[in-house]
Amino acid sequence: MKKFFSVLLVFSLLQVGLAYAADTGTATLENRDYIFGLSKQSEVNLNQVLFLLAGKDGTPGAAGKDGIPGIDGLDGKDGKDGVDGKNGLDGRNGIDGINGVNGINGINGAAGAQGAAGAQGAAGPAGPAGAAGRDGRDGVGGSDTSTSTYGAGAARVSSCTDSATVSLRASYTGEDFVFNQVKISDVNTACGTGIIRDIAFYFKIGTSALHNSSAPKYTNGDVLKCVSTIPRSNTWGTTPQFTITNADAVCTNFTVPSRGNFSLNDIYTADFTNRIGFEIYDQ
Amino acid sequence: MTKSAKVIVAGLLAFLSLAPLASAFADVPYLRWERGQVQQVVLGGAAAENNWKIQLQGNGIVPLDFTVSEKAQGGYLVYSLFIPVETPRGPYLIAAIKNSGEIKVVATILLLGTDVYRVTAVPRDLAFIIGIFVFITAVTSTIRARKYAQMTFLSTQKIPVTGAYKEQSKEPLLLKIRNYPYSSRVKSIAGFETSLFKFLLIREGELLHRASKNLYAYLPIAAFLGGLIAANETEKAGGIAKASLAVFIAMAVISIADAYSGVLATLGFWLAQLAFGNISSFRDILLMLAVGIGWIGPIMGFAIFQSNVSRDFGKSDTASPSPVGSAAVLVTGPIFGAAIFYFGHKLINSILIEIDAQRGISNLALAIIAGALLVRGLADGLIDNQKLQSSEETAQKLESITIARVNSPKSFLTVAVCVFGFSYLWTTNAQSSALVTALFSAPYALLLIRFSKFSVPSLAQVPRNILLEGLIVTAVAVYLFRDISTKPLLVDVMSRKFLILAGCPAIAHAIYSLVCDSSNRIERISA
Repeated sequence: MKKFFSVLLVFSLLQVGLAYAADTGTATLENRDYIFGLSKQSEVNLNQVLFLLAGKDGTPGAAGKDGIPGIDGLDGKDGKDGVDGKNGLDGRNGIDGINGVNGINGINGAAGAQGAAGAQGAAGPAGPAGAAGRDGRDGVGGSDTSTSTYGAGAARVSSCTDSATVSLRASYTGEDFVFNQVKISDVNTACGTGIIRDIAFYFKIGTSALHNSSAPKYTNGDVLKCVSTIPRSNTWGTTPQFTITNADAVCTNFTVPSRGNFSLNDIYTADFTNRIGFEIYDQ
Repeated sequence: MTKSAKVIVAGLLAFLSLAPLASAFADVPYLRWERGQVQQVVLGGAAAENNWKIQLQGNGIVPLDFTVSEKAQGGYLVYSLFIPVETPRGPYLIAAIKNSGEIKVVATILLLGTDVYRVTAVPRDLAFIIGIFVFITAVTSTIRARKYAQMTFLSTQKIPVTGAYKEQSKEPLLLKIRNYPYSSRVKSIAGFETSLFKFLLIREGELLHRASKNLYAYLPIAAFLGGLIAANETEKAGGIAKASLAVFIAMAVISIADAYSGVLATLGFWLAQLAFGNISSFRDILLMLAVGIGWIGPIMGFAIFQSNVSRDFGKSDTASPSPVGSAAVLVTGPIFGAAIFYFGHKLINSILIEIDAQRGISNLALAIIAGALLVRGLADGLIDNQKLQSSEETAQKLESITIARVNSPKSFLTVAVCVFGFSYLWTTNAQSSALVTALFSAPYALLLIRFSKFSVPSLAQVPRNILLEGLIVTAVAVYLFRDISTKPLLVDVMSRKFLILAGCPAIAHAIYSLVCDSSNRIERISA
C-alpha cells in the first residue's frame, strides 16, 4: 500500500508538471494554474463591499408652497336668538292739519240809520294783487320748539334770478304759533353779488277772527310786508342758501302803513291765509 | 405606419417606461452578491456616529440585520451579514435605518446563487475548520503524555503490531491463491513501520476479522473498486463539486467498518481521478487528501478516543475500561468522528472553486456517520467481552504498542506541507501562508522534542485529560474568532488574522504538554 501510495503521488506530481509545461503560452510565474487549477475564478464584479461615507445632516430646506385651499366647511348651526333691541326714537311730529272750513256768514244786521255826508274820500285802493305765486314746499316737521314751515306763496322775482324757494319756519310762543324765520334757496348767486338787493315777503291776513289779540299791527284783510337785505352770495350755504330771522326783517302793514313797523314773529300763523308773495329788487 | 415611424414610437415608449426607474435609482449603487457568503457594508462619517442599523430587505423575506463591528479608529463601522444559502435569489435592498426611524435605501442588490465558494468569505466555515484542526492538534499533543503511551488490544490477526511478519510459505499453491487477498492485506499492513497509524489500522480491522475472515480479506478489494466507482460517478455528475454526498457517506461507512478498506477506497478514488486526467494541480492533490480525511478520518479519530478517553474517566487499566469511560467514549467518540467527517468535507468545499448546492452537508449525513460510529463502538465492546472462548480461533494474543513519539519527522513535514497548501489556496498569499504554516505545524514539531534536563516538578503530576484539554484549547480559538469578528475588518482580512491567531492556543498547549511530559519522565527516571 505504501508503494501504491508513492506511485500515485509521483504520477500526480508528474501530471501537475505536465499541465504546467503543456501550455507554453500561459505557463508563466504569474499564471498559477499549476497551483490553483484551471477552474473558474471568482468574478471581480461579484460580492463587492459597499463603502458609504455619509455626510452630516443638511440644514432644513425652505418651507414649501402653500397648499391648495381646502373645500369650504359645512354651514354652522343657527345661532341663539339675540337680545331685544332698544326702543326706537320718537317719530317726528305730524304735519298740522288743514284749517277747518270757514263758518257760515252771520245774518246781516238791520239797516242802520243814514249817516251824515262823508268827507272826501281817500285815494283809491292799490291795484289788484298779482297772480298767485307757486306753492311753497311742504314744511319740515315741527321740532320740540314747535316750529312750522309754510310753503305756499306767490313770487315776483327780479331779473337776477328766475326762481326762488321760500320756506317759513314758525315757533310756538306758549299760546300760539308765530313766524320765526324764512329760509331761502334756489336763488341765483347773482342776486347776492354786485348791487345790494332786498327781498320782500307779503302776507295776506285772513278774514277769520284774529288769533293775535295783543295789540296786533294788522287786522282782517290787511297785507303785511317784511323786507330784509340779501346777504352776499359768498356767505351763502347750499340749502338753504341763506336765512332771514326776526332781527333781519322789518315788517310793515302794507295796507295801513301807519300802523308802524313790527317784527316777523308778530305775525300769527293762524291769521295768515297760507299765501305768501315775495319779490327781490335793487335797493 | 411606416417602419421608421414604428421604430420611433417603440423607442419612445421604451424611454418613457424606463425613465422613472432610472431616475429613482440614479444615485443608488447596484451590487451583485452571492448567497452563502458573508457580505459587508462599510459606513463612515455621520452614519458611523449615529449608529445606523443596516438591513437586507425585499423579495418577500424577513429583513436580515447586519451585525455591526466595533468602531474603527478611522471612524467607520463594518456591517457584516451571512446570507443563508436558502435565501431566494433576486433583487433586494440595503436599507439604512436611522435612530429616528427614518429608512434610507443605500444600495440595490441582485442576489445570486453560490457560484464561487471561498472559505475566507465565510468566516464561520473557516472557524469550524480551524476549530476542528486545533482540537485534533490538542488531542495529539495530549497523547504524548505517558499516561496514554501504552495501547493494547486482543488480536486474532496474523499481523504483529511490532516485529517481523512470518509468511506461511509451506502452503499449497491453490491455498496460497485462495488466501492471496488475506495475505496481501497482511503483508501490506506489515510493511508499515511501527507507528500509531499502523496500530490503528490493525486494531480497527479486528472487528471485521473476527466477524469473517473472508470479509476481512475481500472488503479492501471491494472498497478499492468502490473508490473507482465513486470516482466514475463523480465524473458522470460533472466533478466532485456536483457529486451526490451519498457516495461519500457510503465510503465513510465502509471505512468505519474497516479502516484499511477506507484507505484502499481513497487510493482507488485517487487512481481513477488520475486516470480521468483530473489531477493537474496541487489543488487537486490536496483535494484527494481532503477526500481521504473525510473517509478515513472519522474512524481514526474515533479509534484514538476509544483507546484513550476511557482512561480519563476511571483507572488507567486499558484492559478493563470503566463503565463511565466506555460511556464517555460512546458519547464523545461518534461526535468527534462526525466532526472530522464534516471537517473533511469543509476542506473539500474550501478548495473547490465551483460549488453546487448538493455540497451542503446535512444533519442527516452527520447523524448517519455518528450512528455508524456508535454501532462500531458497541460492536467493539461486545468483542472485548466475548474473549472468543467458543470460537475456533485459538491464536489470540495481546497486541500492544508503546508510543515513544506521537509523530515522525515525515508526518510533521506532511502536516506542514498540507497546512501551507490549504492556507495558500485560501489566502493566495505566500507570506501569510508561511506564517500560518509555522504556527499550525509548530505543535507537531514540538512532539518531536523532549527535554532531558528541564523540568517543572509541579507539572509532572498534573492529571491530563484529552477531552477537557482539547475542548479548552478549541474554546480559546473560538473566543479569538468571536473577538476578531467584532473588529472593523473586511472579511478577508478577518479570516487571515484569525488563521494566524488561532494557531497560538495550539502552540501554547503543545508547549504545556511538552513541559508536562518532560517533567513527568524526568521525575520517573530520577525516582
